[in-house]
Amino acid sequence: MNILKGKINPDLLVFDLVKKDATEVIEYLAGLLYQGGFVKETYLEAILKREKEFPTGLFLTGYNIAIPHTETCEVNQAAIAVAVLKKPIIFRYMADPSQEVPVSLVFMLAIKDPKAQVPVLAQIMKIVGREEKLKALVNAEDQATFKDILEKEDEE
Amino acid sequence: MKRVVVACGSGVATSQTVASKVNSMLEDAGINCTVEAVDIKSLDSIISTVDVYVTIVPGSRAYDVPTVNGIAFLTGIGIDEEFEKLKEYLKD
Repeated sequence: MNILKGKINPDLLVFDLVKKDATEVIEYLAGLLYQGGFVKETYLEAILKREKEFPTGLFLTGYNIAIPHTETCEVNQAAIAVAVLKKPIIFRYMADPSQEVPVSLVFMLAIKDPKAQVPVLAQIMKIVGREEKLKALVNAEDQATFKDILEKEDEE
Repeated sequence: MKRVVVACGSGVATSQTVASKVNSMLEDAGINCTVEAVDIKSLDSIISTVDVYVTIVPGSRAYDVPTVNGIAFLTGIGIDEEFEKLKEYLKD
């Protein structure tokens, strides 16, 4: 059973997002989470602060991703907001903020219970760690295709 | 028992995910040790009791403890190499 099944909310999944920089992407996704009631108003400020101090850009194969997230106290209900970016936007590398990561896919995590979140993040990483799946996600043209890739049962 | 510690900015998501991955890989390899996820701020107070530090955040390699790249366990890139290092550090 894939833990991501049913966890991808269509209201929190956006394609071809065009923004100027990472801050604008974060503002946009945090806005979706706030409008949906998943996070408190303070979430945006907290996540921007954390991203600055501890960035979440990750180098993968073919495309790169970012996984912005923050402390649990800003969150009402766990959720994942996802953006596929029209053109790569520079985030900073998790291990070294002086390195730029051109990111194509952003998973913003609103975490309520860290323990429950572990398999969710692990599953996301497992999928995006496969080059062909990551490529398919970045190039997905509609929500159904995107959700299918993330929610598909593991073949293994 | 050897103690492995994973630290990230908040101790919330990334470090726990990496800790869980490291733990299951060590279990599969039959290596018995404890793996914990901690907040980077609490690392200073426990680092002297740690056998291997799995780092995910920048600027934290100044500790005098064997250190492994935790991002490899998150993305899978370079994971075999880092796991070999980890196993080597955990030998007596």
